[in-house]
Amino acid sequence: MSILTLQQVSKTFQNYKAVDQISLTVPRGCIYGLLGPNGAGKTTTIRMITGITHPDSGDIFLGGNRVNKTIPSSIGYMPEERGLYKKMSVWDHLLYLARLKGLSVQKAKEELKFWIERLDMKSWYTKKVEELSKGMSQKAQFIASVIHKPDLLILDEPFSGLDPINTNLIKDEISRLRDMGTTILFSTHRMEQVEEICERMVLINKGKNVLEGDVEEIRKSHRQHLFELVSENDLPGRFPDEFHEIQRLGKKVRFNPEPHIQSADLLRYFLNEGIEVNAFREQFPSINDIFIETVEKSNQA
Amino acid sequence: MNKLWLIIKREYTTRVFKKSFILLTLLVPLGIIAFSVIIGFIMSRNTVQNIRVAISDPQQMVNDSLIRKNSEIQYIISDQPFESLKSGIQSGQYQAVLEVMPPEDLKQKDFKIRINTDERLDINTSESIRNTLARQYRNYKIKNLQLNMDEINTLDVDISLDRHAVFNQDKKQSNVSNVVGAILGGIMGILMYIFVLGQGMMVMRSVMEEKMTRIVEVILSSVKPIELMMGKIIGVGAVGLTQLLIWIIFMPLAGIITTLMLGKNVFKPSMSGVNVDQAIQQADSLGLENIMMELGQMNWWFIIPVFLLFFVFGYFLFASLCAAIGSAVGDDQSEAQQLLLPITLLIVMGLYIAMAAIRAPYSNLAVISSFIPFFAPMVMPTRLAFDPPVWQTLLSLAILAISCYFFALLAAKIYRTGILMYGKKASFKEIGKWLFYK
Repeated sequence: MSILTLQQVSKTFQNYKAVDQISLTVPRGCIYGLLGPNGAGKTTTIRMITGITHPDSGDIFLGGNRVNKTIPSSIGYMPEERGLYKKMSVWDHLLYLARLKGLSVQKAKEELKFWIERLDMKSWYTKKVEELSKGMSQKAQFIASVIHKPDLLILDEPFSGLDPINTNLIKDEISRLRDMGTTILFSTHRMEQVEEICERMVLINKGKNVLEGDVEEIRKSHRQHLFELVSENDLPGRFPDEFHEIQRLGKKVRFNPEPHIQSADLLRYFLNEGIEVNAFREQFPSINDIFIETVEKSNQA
Repeated sequence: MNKLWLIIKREYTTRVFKKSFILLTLLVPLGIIAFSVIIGFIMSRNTVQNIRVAISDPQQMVNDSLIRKNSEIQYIISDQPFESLKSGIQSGQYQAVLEVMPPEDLKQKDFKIRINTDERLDINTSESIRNTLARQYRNYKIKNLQLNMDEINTLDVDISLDRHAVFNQDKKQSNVSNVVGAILGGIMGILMYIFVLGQGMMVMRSVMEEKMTRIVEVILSSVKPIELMMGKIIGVGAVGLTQLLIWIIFMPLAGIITTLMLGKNVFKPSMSGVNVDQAIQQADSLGLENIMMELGQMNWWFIIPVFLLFFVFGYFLFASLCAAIGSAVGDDQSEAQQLLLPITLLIVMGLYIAMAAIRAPYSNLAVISSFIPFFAPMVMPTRLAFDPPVWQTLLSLAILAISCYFFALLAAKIYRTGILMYGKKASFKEIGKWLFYK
């Protein structure tokens, strides 16, 4: 069952179409990647989902309800361009944001204590926002987006500016929330993160949905028939022409064989030739490659 | 509604419980006290030179009883001619010698009196000496023309107009009510001006800060833009009101303290610059009881609520425009100033018209401006004390309220788009387009 559905949603600023008839479906309980180059319309799309701006046409459904002109409280949102009131203490600030999300004072305090403990903020939650480091305020902002236990959590570049330790901390929290049933919409242009975290993704370019689906499926469907062999043995000087060796780096060889040759054919050949196979796999393209390829294709179209 | 309240509370508490606010609020009255004490002290210093002047009066025309004894200038009257008084200057017994002669022609008006001195005489000193001499010559003339002093005193007249309504027996209007009206009107107008300008700026700066720190997107995922804008306007307005109330309580206290310290009321000059001071002088001559009586006769049950309504609507009108500007510009102060200029001009013009309206509360200018929404918040309150026709007050209020609503909607539209728009120069044309975004 889907938690979020966009149907032909469009948004125009003057004569510039920021979002052009986007449709997508986010299944409940998954981590969904929203990708696209700069200026593709990611932020505008997110703003429409969160109710900050309204679509010119099209419909947005959240948990089955049409939410075109309301601000849904079941969404948590951490924008890419984020900030906090400088003069407030972290505690007061988060309490305020939690209350704006509709939590009672008592409930907000409870949740806040839990998160401060969890994200290791005990030593600085009384400080003023202006005294915080970038990583610290990022953690505070993360809390602000999850404190009301949203069904749908939208994170726009959540790891930018975080050190590896804090990145892992937040990643773990994201997985934990997912396991607890939160759906996460994750916008980024860091492709390795998509491969690592996301189950499904959509790629938008120039305001249009150009690719949507399961991340692994997408990678499979974009494979280019590339194979990689690692061997400790001395490799033969030449492989058959139809294997189309394209690269040799020490003990690693890459092939792009004729379409009729499958992985089994390659393996059989290696074994027959007495080549020791330490590792052999079909290379799936990275999301990065797919991203670049798809964006370039859609730009030409 | 609950969220609006939260926003108001935050806007209010983060400002009011800030050290700088508490300091400023307390320091301003203290500053005014200190300032008035110092100014009062300077003004009360007698700046006349401390000198002794001999009057050479061989024909004994000078009347000793007409010389003020408490003056800084001491006069020594002598029947000796100047030549024999010269030595006194040398010995330091006195510093100047005046030579007076009775006029030959009693109808002569201009006299040139010689003063022999090596001192430089400043303006105050020479004026004091001239006044002293003028009294002597006037007295001499009165005596020699054989005029009766009492009769002369009866020549001075004071006129006051006693208005009696002919058909319209609404309210008696006296000289006192004009003066009281002027003072009240002036205070109301200025209060409005200071408040609208000061708090309006604060709203604008606060919106700019919200936009630049990028907190706004987080907030807007919880509340509607109009809620955020209204919460801010109300919160900042409440801060201003708090400050105002504290000052209203403190000011009389400050006045009393200064008065006690200096032994006289130094507060009157500090109100100059407005033509209220004239009115106050006049009021002085009218007597406190009359003023109190007049104040008691005012229809406070009408004036106070109406004034408050004007205050609220006027503030909302200008503050929402300021919020719109703040949302459009972001961090560019000079751009903000540019966009703010038309609004500031309107407010200042309003104040000037209000000041004119004090003098002529029933003039065409005053009446017409009362129906122009940008001037009404300043002009109409100043007229309230003059008992304007009720329909004018109500029409003015209605026009203001409707335009307040209209401009708040307009501002909210600009605000909604502007607050999320970065890196675009906010020209009036650009802002105009925002009004039509969905």
